[in-house]
Amino acid sequence: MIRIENLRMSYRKNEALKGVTFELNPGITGLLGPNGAGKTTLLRCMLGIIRPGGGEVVFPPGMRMLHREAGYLPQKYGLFKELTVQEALEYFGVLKDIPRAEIGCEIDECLHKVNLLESKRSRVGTLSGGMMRRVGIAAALLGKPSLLVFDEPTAGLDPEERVRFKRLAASLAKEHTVLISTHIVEDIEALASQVVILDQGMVCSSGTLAETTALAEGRCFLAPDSLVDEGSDGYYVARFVEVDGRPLARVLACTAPDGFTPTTPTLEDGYLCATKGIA
Amino acid sequence: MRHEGNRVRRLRAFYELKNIGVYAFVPPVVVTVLLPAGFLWLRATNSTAAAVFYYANTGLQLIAPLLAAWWMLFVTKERVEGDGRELLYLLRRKGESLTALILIGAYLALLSPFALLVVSSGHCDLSVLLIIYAWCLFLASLAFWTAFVFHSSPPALVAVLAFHIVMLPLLSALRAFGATAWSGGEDVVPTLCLAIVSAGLLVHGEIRSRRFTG
Repeated sequence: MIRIENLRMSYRKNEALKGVTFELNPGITGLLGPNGAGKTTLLRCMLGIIRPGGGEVVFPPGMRMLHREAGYLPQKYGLFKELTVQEALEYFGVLKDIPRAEIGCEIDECLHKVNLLESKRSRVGTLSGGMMRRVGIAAALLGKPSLLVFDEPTAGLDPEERVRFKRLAASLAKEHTVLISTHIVEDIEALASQVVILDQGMVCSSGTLAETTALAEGRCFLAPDSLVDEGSDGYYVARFVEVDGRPLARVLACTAPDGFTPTTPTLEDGYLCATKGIA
Repeated sequence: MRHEGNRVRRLRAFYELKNIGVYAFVPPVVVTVLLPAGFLWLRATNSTAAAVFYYANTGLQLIAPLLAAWWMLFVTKERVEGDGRELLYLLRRKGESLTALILIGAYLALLSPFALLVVSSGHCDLSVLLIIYAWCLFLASLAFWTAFVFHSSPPALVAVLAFHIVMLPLLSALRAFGATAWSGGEDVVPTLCLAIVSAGLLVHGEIRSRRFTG
Protein backbone atom coordinates (compact mmCIF):
# COMPACT_ATOMS: atom_id res chain seq x y z
CA MET A 1 0.00 0.00 0.00
CA ILE A 2 1.26 3.48 -0.91
CA ARG A 3 0.07 6.32 1.26
CA ILE A 4 -0.17 9.92 0.12
CA GLU A 5 -0.15 12.17 3.15
CA ASN A 6 -1.22 15.79 3.27
CA LEU A 7 0.27 16.65 -0.12
CA ARG A 8 0.27 20.39 -0.79
CA MET A 9 1.28 22.38 -3.82
CA SER A 10 0.90 26.00 -4.85
CA TYR A 11 1.60 27.84 -8.08
CA ARG A 12 2.35 31.32 -6.80
CA LYS A 13 -0.87 32.29 -4.98
CA ASN A 14 -2.97 29.56 -6.54
CA GLU A 15 -3.26 26.60 -4.19
CA ALA A 16 -3.48 23.56 -6.49
CA LEU A 17 -3.36 20.88 -3.78
CA LYS A 18 -4.71 21.59 -0.31
CA GLY A 19 -3.49 18.69 1.79
CA VAL A 20 -4.38 15.62 -0.24
CA THR A 21 -4.43 12.33 1.68
CA PHE A 22 -5.41 8.90 0.38
CA GLU A 23 -4.15 5.34 0.05
CA LEU A 24 -3.29 3.37 -3.05
CA ASN A 25 -4.06 -0.32 -2.79
CA PRO A 26 -3.23 -3.10 -5.27
CA GLY A 27 -5.61 -3.15 -8.23
CA ILE A 28 -6.94 -0.16 -10.11
CA THR A 29 -7.63 3.09 -8.35
CA GLY A 30 -9.49 5.75 -10.27
CA LEU A 31 -8.65 9.38 -9.61
CA LEU A 32 -11.72 11.30 -10.67
CA GLY A 33 -12.17 15.02 -10.79
CA PRO A 34 -13.32 17.84 -13.02
CA ASN A 35 -10.85 19.68 -15.24
CA GLY A 36 -8.61 21.86 -13.11
CA ALA A 37 -9.22 19.84 -9.95
CA GLY A 38 -5.47 19.27 -9.50
CA LYS A 39 -5.25 15.68 -10.75
CA THR A 40 -2.18 16.14 -12.95
CA THR A 41 -0.45 18.24 -10.29
CA LEU A 42 -1.17 15.51 -7.76
CA LEU A 43 0.33 12.84 -10.01
CA ARG A 44 3.40 14.96 -10.73
CA CYS A 45 3.93 15.64 -7.03
CA MET A 46 3.45 11.97 -6.18
CA LEU A 47 6.02 10.93 -8.74
CA GLY A 48 8.53 13.61 -7.79
CA ILE A 49 8.37 15.36 -11.17
CA ILE A 50 7.60 18.56 -9.30
CA ARG A 51 8.48 19.14 -5.69
CA PRO A 52 5.40 19.44 -3.48
CA GLY A 53 5.05 22.34 -1.08
CA GLY A 54 4.38 19.92 1.75
CA GLY A 55 3.34 16.42 2.70
CA GLU A 56 4.87 13.14 1.66
CA VAL A 57 4.37 9.89 -0.18
CA VAL A 58 4.94 6.86 2.03
CA PHE A 59 5.98 3.68 0.27
CA PRO A 60 5.83 0.14 1.54
CA PRO A 61 9.08 -1.20 2.99
CA GLY A 62 11.45 -2.56 0.37
CA MET A 63 10.08 -0.44 -2.46
CA ARG A 64 12.84 1.08 -4.55
CA MET A 65 13.13 4.73 -5.43
CA LEU A 66 9.82 5.74 -6.92
CA HIS A 67 11.07 7.03 -10.25
CA ARG A 68 12.34 3.56 -11.04
CA GLU A 69 9.39 1.84 -9.46
CA ALA A 70 6.72 3.86 -11.21
CA GLY A 71 5.65 3.72 -14.81
CA TYR A 72 4.01 6.91 -15.96
CA LEU A 73 1.90 7.71 -18.99
CA PRO A 74 1.59 11.50 -19.31
CA GLN A 75 -1.57 13.19 -20.54
CA LYS A 76 0.02 13.83 -23.93
CA TYR A 77 2.59 11.43 -25.25
CA GLY A 78 4.54 12.29 -28.37
CA LEU A 79 8.24 12.04 -27.59
CA PHE A 80 10.94 10.95 -30.03
CA LYS A 81 8.74 10.92 -33.10
CA GLU A 82 11.68 10.45 -35.45
CA LEU A 83 12.83 7.24 -33.73
CA THR A 84 11.37 3.82 -34.35
CA VAL A 85 9.21 2.35 -31.59
CA GLN A 86 12.04 0.02 -30.62
CA GLU A 87 14.61 2.82 -30.49
CA ALA A 88 12.34 5.06 -28.42
CA LEU A 89 11.78 2.25 -25.93
CA GLU A 90 15.49 1.46 -25.87
CA TYR A 91 16.10 5.09 -24.99
CA PHE A 92 13.69 4.86 -22.05
CA GLY A 93 15.18 1.50 -21.09
CA VAL A 94 18.60 3.16 -20.91
CA LEU A 95 17.16 5.90 -18.70
CA LYS A 96 15.63 3.26 -16.45
CA ASP A 97 19.01 1.54 -16.11
CA ILE A 98 17.83 -1.73 -17.61
CA PRO A 99 20.91 -3.88 -18.32
CA ARG A 100 21.86 -3.99 -21.99
CA ALA A 101 21.50 -7.77 -22.19
CA GLU A 102 17.89 -7.64 -21.01
CA ILE A 103 16.66 -4.57 -22.80
CA GLY A 104 15.72 -6.24 -26.12
CA CYS A 105 13.67 -9.00 -24.49
CA GLU A 106 11.95 -6.58 -22.18
CA ILE A 107 10.99 -4.26 -25.04
CA ASP A 108 9.48 -7.20 -26.93
CA GLU A 109 7.61 -8.28 -23.81
CA CYS A 110 6.16 -4.79 -23.25
CA LEU A 111 5.24 -4.37 -26.91
CA HIS A 112 3.53 -7.75 -26.83
CA LYS A 113 1.47 -6.63 -23.83
CA VAL A 114 0.28 -3.51 -25.64
CA ASN A 115 -0.18 -5.40 -28.91
CA LEU A 116 2.38 -3.38 -30.84
CA LEU A 117 5.02 -5.98 -31.55
CA GLU A 118 4.45 -5.76 -35.30
CA SER A 119 4.97 -2.00 -35.26
CA LYS A 120 8.28 -2.01 -33.45
CA ARG A 121 10.17 -0.91 -36.55
CA SER A 122 7.67 1.86 -37.38
CA ARG A 123 8.57 5.45 -36.74
CA VAL A 124 6.73 6.80 -33.66
CA GLY A 125 5.63 9.87 -35.61
CA THR A 126 3.77 7.74 -38.15
CA LEU A 127 1.57 6.02 -35.55
CA SER A 128 -2.02 6.94 -34.78
CA GLY A 129 -2.88 8.69 -31.51
CA GLY A 130 -4.03 5.45 -29.91
CA MET A 131 -0.94 3.55 -30.99
CA MET A 132 1.29 6.35 -29.73
CA ARG A 133 -0.48 6.14 -26.39
CA ARG A 134 0.26 2.41 -26.38
CA VAL A 135 3.95 3.17 -27.01
CA GLY A 136 3.74 5.41 -23.94
CA ILE A 137 2.21 2.55 -21.95
CA ALA A 138 4.97 0.21 -23.15
CA ALA A 139 7.53 2.80 -22.01
CA ALA A 140 5.77 2.92 -18.64
CA LEU A 141 5.92 -0.87 -18.34
CA LEU A 142 9.68 -1.01 -18.95
CA GLY A 143 11.63 -1.95 -15.86
CA LYS A 144 8.66 -3.88 -14.44
CA PRO A 145 7.44 -1.11 -12.12
CA SER A 146 5.03 -2.05 -9.36
CA LEU A 147 3.07 1.20 -9.73
CA LEU A 148 1.56 2.39 -13.01
CA VAL A 149 0.18 5.90 -13.27
CA PHE A 150 -1.92 6.85 -16.28
CA ASP A 151 -2.97 10.47 -16.74
CA GLU A 152 -6.13 10.85 -18.85
CA PRO A 153 -5.28 7.68 -20.80
CA THR A 154 -8.45 7.58 -22.89
CA ALA A 155 -8.72 11.26 -23.75
CA GLY A 156 -8.94 11.69 -27.50
CA LEU A 157 -9.11 7.96 -28.24
CA ASP A 158 -11.75 6.46 -30.51
CA PRO A 159 -14.20 3.92 -28.98
CA GLU A 160 -12.22 0.93 -30.25
CA GLU A 161 -8.98 2.21 -28.71
CA ARG A 162 -10.81 2.98 -25.47
CA VAL A 163 -12.09 -0.57 -25.25
CA ARG A 164 -8.57 -1.82 -26.03
CA PHE A 165 -7.15 0.37 -23.28
CA LYS A 166 -9.69 -0.89 -20.74
CA ARG A 167 -8.80 -4.50 -21.53
CA LEU A 168 -5.11 -3.70 -21.25
CA ALA A 169 -5.53 -1.84 -17.95
CA ALA A 170 -7.55 -4.72 -16.51
CA SER A 171 -4.83 -7.20 -17.43
CA LEU A 172 -2.07 -4.93 -16.06
CA ALA A 173 -3.91 -4.64 -12.75
CA LYS A 174 -3.19 -8.32 -12.10
CA GLU A 175 0.51 -7.54 -11.70
CA HIS A 176 0.67 -3.83 -10.93
CA THR A 177 -0.93 -1.22 -8.73
CA VAL A 178 -2.59 1.08 -11.26
CA LEU A 179 -3.69 4.66 -10.73
CA ILE A 180 -5.82 6.13 -13.52
CA SER A 181 -6.58 9.81 -13.49
CA THR A 182 -9.53 10.90 -15.60
CA HIS A 183 -12.71 12.91 -15.68
CA ILE A 184 -14.51 10.18 -17.64
CA VAL A 185 -16.61 8.35 -15.07
CA GLU A 186 -17.50 5.38 -17.33
CA ASP A 187 -13.83 4.44 -17.66
CA ILE A 188 -13.46 4.23 -13.91
CA GLU A 189 -16.79 2.45 -13.48
CA ALA A 190 -15.59 -0.26 -15.85
CA LEU A 191 -12.14 -0.67 -14.35
CA ALA A 192 -11.50 0.57 -10.85
CA SER A 193 -12.00 -1.08 -7.51
CA GLN A 194 -11.14 2.10 -5.58
CA VAL A 195 -12.17 5.64 -6.40
CA VAL A 196 -10.65 8.89 -5.17
CA ILE A 197 -12.54 12.05 -6.06
CA LEU A 198 -10.54 15.25 -6.19
CA ASP A 199 -12.07 18.69 -6.52
CA GLN A 200 -10.44 22.08 -6.10
CA GLY A 201 -7.28 20.48 -4.78
CA MET A 202 -9.01 18.48 -2.07
CA VAL A 203 -10.13 14.88 -1.74
CA CYS A 204 -13.95 14.93 -1.64
CA SER A 205 -14.31 11.21 -1.32
CA SER A 206 -12.19 8.08 -1.20
CA GLY A 207 -13.48 4.53 -1.11
CA THR A 208 -14.58 1.52 -3.08
CA LEU A 209 -16.74 1.78 -6.15
CA ALA A 210 -19.80 0.80 -4.10
CA GLU A 211 -18.99 3.29 -1.34
CA THR A 212 -18.61 6.09 -3.86
CA THR A 213 -21.85 5.15 -5.60
CA ALA A 214 -23.56 5.07 -2.19
CA LEU A 215 -22.79 8.79 -1.77
CA ALA A 216 -25.84 9.35 -3.98
CA GLU A 217 -28.01 6.84 -2.11
CA GLY A 218 -31.37 8.52 -1.37
CA ARG A 219 -30.28 11.61 -3.30
CA CYS A 220 -30.94 10.48 -6.84
CA PHE A 221 -34.36 11.06 -8.42
CA LEU A 222 -36.17 10.93 -11.71
CA ALA A 223 -38.64 13.61 -12.61
CA PRO A 224 -40.66 14.56 -15.68
CA ASP A 225 -38.60 17.18 -17.47
CA SER A 226 -41.58 19.54 -17.44
CA LEU A 227 -41.24 19.73 -13.64
CA VAL A 228 -37.55 20.43 -13.70
CA ASP A 229 -35.99 23.85 -13.54
CA GLU A 230 -32.31 23.63 -14.50
CA GLY A 231 -31.51 26.83 -12.64
CA SER A 232 -33.02 25.63 -9.38
CA ASP A 233 -30.94 25.91 -6.20
CA GLY A 234 -32.75 23.00 -4.56
CA TYR A 235 -31.36 20.27 -6.78
CA TYR A 236 -28.80 19.52 -9.47
CA VAL A 237 -29.87 18.20 -12.88
CA ALA A 238 -27.40 15.46 -13.77
CA ARG A 239 -28.75 14.65 -17.21
CA PHE A 240 -31.89 14.09 -19.28
CA VAL A 241 -32.91 10.51 -20.08
CA GLU A 242 -35.74 8.76 -21.81
CA VAL A 243 -37.55 5.97 -19.95
CA ASP A 244 -40.26 4.05 -21.83
CA GLY A 245 -40.48 6.90 -24.29
CA ARG A 246 -41.02 9.46 -21.54
CA PRO A 247 -38.52 12.33 -21.29
CA LEU A 248 -37.21 12.45 -17.71
CA ALA A 249 -34.56 14.33 -15.84
CA ARG A 250 -32.09 12.62 -13.52
CA VAL A 251 -31.79 14.91 -10.55
CA LEU A 252 -29.60 14.96 -7.45
CA ALA A 253 -30.93 16.54 -4.29
CA CYS A 254 -30.62 16.18 -0.52
CA THR A 255 -34.38 15.77 -0.15
CA ALA A 256 -36.91 14.69 -2.74
CA PRO A 257 -38.86 17.60 -4.24
CA ASP A 258 -42.56 17.00 -4.89
CA GLY A 259 -43.26 14.71 -7.83
CA PHE A 260 -39.70 13.33 -7.98
CA THR A 261 -39.23 9.52 -7.84
CA PRO A 262 -36.20 7.95 -6.11
CA THR A 263 -33.98 5.87 -8.39
CA THR A 264 -30.87 3.68 -8.11
CA PRO A 265 -27.70 5.79 -8.17
CA THR A 266 -24.70 5.18 -10.41
CA LEU A 267 -21.04 6.02 -9.89
CA GLU A 268 -21.57 9.20 -11.87
CA ASP A 269 -24.29 10.24 -9.41
CA GLY A 270 -21.94 9.53 -6.51
CA TYR A 271 -19.21 11.55 -8.21
CA LEU A 272 -21.58 14.47 -8.83
CA CYS A 273 -22.85 14.37 -5.24
CA ALA A 274 -19.25 14.55 -4.00
CA THR A 275 -18.16 17.38 -6.31
CA LYS A 276 -21.37 19.41 -6.10
CA GLY A 277 -21.56 19.13 -2.32
CA ILE A 278 -24.88 17.26 -2.34
CA ALA A 279 -24.49 15.35 0.92
CA MET B 1 30.48 1.16 -14.11
CA ARG B 2 32.06 4.29 -15.51
CA HIS B 3 32.45 2.58 -18.86
CA GLU B 4 28.75 1.65 -18.80
CA GLY B 5 27.89 5.26 -17.91
CA ASN B 6 29.82 6.56 -20.91
CA ARG B 7 28.17 4.03 -23.20
CA VAL B 8 24.75 5.07 -21.95
CA ARG B 9 25.61 8.72 -22.46
CA ARG B 10 26.83 8.09 -26.01
CA LEU B 11 23.73 6.04 -26.77
CA ARG B 12 21.50 8.82 -25.46
CA ALA B 13 23.34 11.41 -27.52
CA PHE B 14 23.02 9.20 -30.59
CA TYR B 15 19.27 8.74 -30.18
CA GLU B 16 18.77 12.41 -29.45
CA LEU B 17 20.62 13.24 -32.65
CA LYS B 18 18.68 10.65 -34.59
CA ASN B 19 15.44 12.14 -33.31
CA ILE B 20 16.30 15.40 -35.08
CA GLY B 21 15.65 13.61 -38.36
CA VAL B 22 17.12 14.85 -41.64
CA TYR B 23 18.05 18.22 -40.12
CA ALA B 24 20.70 16.42 -38.09
CA PHE B 25 22.73 16.08 -41.29
CA VAL B 26 23.01 19.82 -41.91
CA PRO B 27 26.14 20.48 -39.78
CA PRO B 28 28.12 17.44 -41.01
CA VAL B 29 27.22 18.05 -44.64
CA VAL B 30 28.15 21.73 -44.43
CA VAL B 31 31.41 21.44 -42.47
CA THR B 32 32.74 18.18 -43.88
CA VAL B 33 31.59 18.43 -47.50
CA LEU B 34 30.44 21.84 -48.67
CA LEU B 35 32.95 24.10 -46.93
CA PRO B 36 36.06 22.00 -47.74
CA ALA B 37 34.84 21.37 -51.30
CA GLY B 38 34.34 25.10 -51.88
CA PHE B 39 37.73 25.86 -50.41
CA LEU B 40 39.51 23.26 -52.55
CA TRP B 41 37.61 24.42 -55.64
CA LEU B 42 38.65 28.05 -55.05
CA ARG B 43 42.26 27.00 -54.74
CA ALA B 44 42.09 24.74 -57.77
CA THR B 45 40.65 27.50 -59.94
CA ASN B 46 43.52 29.81 -59.02
CA SER B 47 41.25 32.33 -57.33
CA THR B 48 42.91 35.36 -55.77
CA ALA B 49 44.41 34.93 -52.30
CA ALA B 50 41.95 37.51 -51.03
CA ALA B 51 39.00 35.48 -52.29
CA VAL B 52 40.29 32.28 -50.68
CA PHE B 53 41.00 34.14 -47.43
CA TYR B 54 37.53 35.67 -47.46
CA TYR B 55 35.93 32.26 -48.08
CA ALA B 56 37.96 30.53 -45.36
CA ASN B 57 37.19 33.18 -42.79
CA THR B 58 33.53 33.33 -43.66
CA GLY B 59 33.35 29.57 -43.27
CA LEU B 60 35.22 29.49 -39.99
CA GLN B 61 33.92 32.62 -38.32
CA LEU B 62 30.41 32.98 -39.65
CA ILE B 63 29.08 29.55 -40.54
CA ALA B 64 30.96 27.12 -38.29
CA PRO B 65 30.10 28.71 -34.89
CA LEU B 66 26.45 29.10 -35.86
CA LEU B 67 26.20 25.45 -36.85
CA ALA B 68 27.77 24.44 -33.52
CA ALA B 69 24.48 25.39 -31.85
CA TRP B 70 22.34 23.61 -34.46
CA TRP B 71 22.08 20.19 -32.80
CA MET B 72 21.71 21.73 -29.36
CA LEU B 73 18.69 23.78 -30.43
CA PHE B 74 16.90 20.69 -31.70
CA VAL B 75 17.89 18.37 -28.86
CA THR B 76 16.84 20.77 -26.12
CA LYS B 77 13.58 21.53 -27.96
CA GLU B 78 12.38 17.95 -27.35
CA ARG B 79 13.32 18.22 -23.70
CA VAL B 80 11.64 21.55 -23.00
CA GLU B 81 8.68 21.38 -25.39
CA GLY B 82 8.09 17.70 -26.24
CA ASP B 83 4.65 16.24 -25.53
CA GLY B 84 4.99 14.10 -22.43
CA ARG B 85 8.40 15.46 -21.48
CA GLU B 86 7.50 15.06 -17.82
CA LEU B 87 8.36 11.41 -18.37
CA LEU B 88 11.96 12.47 -18.90
CA TYR B 89 11.89 14.39 -15.64
CA LEU B 90 10.39 11.42 -13.82
CA LEU B 91 13.40 9.38 -14.88
CA ARG B 92 15.61 12.01 -13.25
CA ARG B 93 17.92 12.51 -16.19
CA LYS B 94 21.20 13.84 -15.01
CA GLY B 95 24.27 14.58 -17.06
CA GLU B 96 22.47 16.71 -19.64
CA SER B 97 25.55 18.92 -19.85
CA LEU B 98 27.75 15.89 -20.52
CA THR B 99 25.44 14.85 -23.36
CA ALA B 100 25.77 18.44 -24.61
CA LEU B 101 29.55 18.19 -24.39
CA ILE B 102 29.47 14.96 -26.41
CA LEU B 103 27.49 16.75 -29.12
CA ILE B 104 29.81 19.76 -29.08
CA GLY B 105 32.87 17.47 -29.19
CA ALA B 106 31.42 15.53 -32.10
CA TYR B 107 30.76 18.75 -33.98
CA LEU B 108 34.27 20.12 -33.35
CA ALA B 109 35.72 16.81 -34.54
CA LEU B 110 33.70 17.14 -37.74
CA LEU B 111 34.89 20.71 -38.19
CA SER B 112 38.55 19.83 -37.70
CA PRO B 113 39.42 18.63 -41.23
CA PHE B 114 38.20 21.89 -42.76
CA ALA B 115 39.82 23.95 -40.00
CA LEU B 116 43.16 22.18 -40.43
CA LEU B 117 42.92 22.57 -44.19
CA VAL B 118 42.53 26.31 -43.76
CA VAL B 119 45.32 26.50 -41.16
CA SER B 120 47.71 24.41 -43.28
CA SER B 121 47.09 26.69 -46.26
CA GLY B 122 48.13 29.65 -44.13
CA HIS B 123 44.80 31.45 -44.19
CA CYS B 124 44.27 31.19 -40.45
CA ASP B 125 46.51 30.94 -37.37
CA LEU B 126 46.23 28.04 -34.99
CA SER B 127 45.66 30.50 -32.14
CA VAL B 128 42.73 32.06 -33.99
CA LEU B 129 41.38 28.57 -34.63
CA LEU B 130 41.34 27.96 -30.87
CA ILE B 131 39.28 31.10 -30.42
CA ILE B 132 36.84 29.86 -33.09
CA TYR B 133 36.54 26.52 -31.30
CA ALA B 134 35.86 28.35 -28.04
CA TRP B 135 33.29 30.44 -29.90
CA CYS B 136 31.58 27.26 -31.11
CA LEU B 137 31.59 25.90 -27.56
CA PHE B 138 30.12 29.15 -26.25
CA LEU B 139 27.25 29.35 -28.75
CA ALA B 140 26.29 25.69 -28.21
CA SER B 141 26.45 26.16 -24.42
CA LEU B 142 24.40 29.33 -24.72
CA ALA B 143 21.70 27.46 -26.65
CA PHE B 144 21.70 24.74 -23.97
CA TRP B 145 21.50 27.21 -21.10
CA THR B 146 18.85 29.48 -22.63
CA ALA B 147 16.59 26.56 -23.54
CA PHE B 148 16.61 25.24 -19.97
CA VAL B 149 16.40 28.59 -18.24
CA PHE B 150 13.43 29.76 -20.32
CA HIS B 151 12.05 26.24 -20.88
CA SER B 152 11.49 27.20 -24.48
CA SER B 153 13.52 26.86 -27.65
CA PRO B 154 12.80 30.16 -29.49
CA PRO B 155 14.70 32.25 -26.88
CA ALA B 156 17.65 29.90 -27.37
CA LEU B 157 17.65 30.57 -31.11
CA VAL B 158 17.36 34.33 -30.55
CA ALA B 159 20.21 34.29 -28.00
CA VAL B 160 22.46 32.31 -30.34
CA LEU B 161 21.82 34.66 -33.26
CA ALA B 162 22.20 37.78 -31.12
CA PHE B 163 25.48 36.66 -29.59
CA HIS B 164 26.78 35.51 -32.93
CA ILE B 165 26.20 39.00 -34.31
CA VAL B 166 27.94 40.77 -31.43
CA MET B 167 30.69 38.17 -31.07
CA LEU B 168 33.20 39.70 -33.51
CA PRO B 169 33.30 43.10 -31.78
CA LEU B 170 33.25 41.34 -28.40
CA LEU B 171 36.20 39.18 -29.38
CA SER B 172 38.05 42.23 -30.70
CA ALA B 173 37.57 43.93 -27.35
CA LEU B 174 38.75 40.82 -25.49
CA ARG B 175 41.76 40.50 -27.75
CA ALA B 176 42.64 44.14 -27.20
CA PHE B 177 42.31 43.66 -23.46
CA GLY B 178 44.43 40.48 -23.64
CA ALA B 179 47.11 42.23 -25.64
CA THR B 180 47.47 44.91 -22.97
CA ALA B 181 47.65 42.27 -20.25
CA TRP B 182 50.64 40.31 -21.54
CA SER B 183 52.41 39.35 -24.73
CA GLY B 184 50.33 36.74 -26.58
CA GLY B 185 47.35 37.47 -24.33
CA GLU B 186 45.24 38.57 -27.29
CA ASP B 187 44.66 34.91 -28.20
CA VAL B 188 44.60 33.40 -24.72
CA VAL B 189 42.19 35.85 -23.05
CA PRO B 190 39.25 35.44 -25.51
CA THR B 191 39.68 31.65 -25.58
CA LEU B 192 39.82 31.39 -21.80
CA CYS B 193 36.93 33.81 -21.28
CA LEU B 194 34.68 31.91 -23.70
CA ALA B 195 35.66 28.55 -22.21
CA ILE B 196 34.99 29.70 -18.64
CA VAL B 197 31.65 31.29 -19.50
CA SER B 198 30.67 28.15 -21.47
CA ALA B 199 31.49 25.95 -18.48
CA GLY B 200 29.34 28.18 -16.29
CA LEU B 201 26.46 28.03 -18.77
CA LEU B 202 26.67 24.24 -18.97
CA VAL B 203 26.76 23.82 -15.18
CA HIS B 204 23.85 26.19 -14.57
CA GLY B 205 21.95 24.74 -17.52
CA GLU B 206 22.44 21.28 -16.03
CA ILE B 207 20.92 22.44 -12.73
CA ARG B 208 17.97 24.03 -14.51
CA SER B 209 17.49 20.99 -16.72
CA ARG B 210 16.39 18.96 -13.70
CA ARG B 211 13.52 21.32 -12.91
CA PHE B 212 10.25 20.56 -14.67
CA THR B 213 8.05 23.41 -15.78
CA GLY B 214 4.65 22.33 -17.03
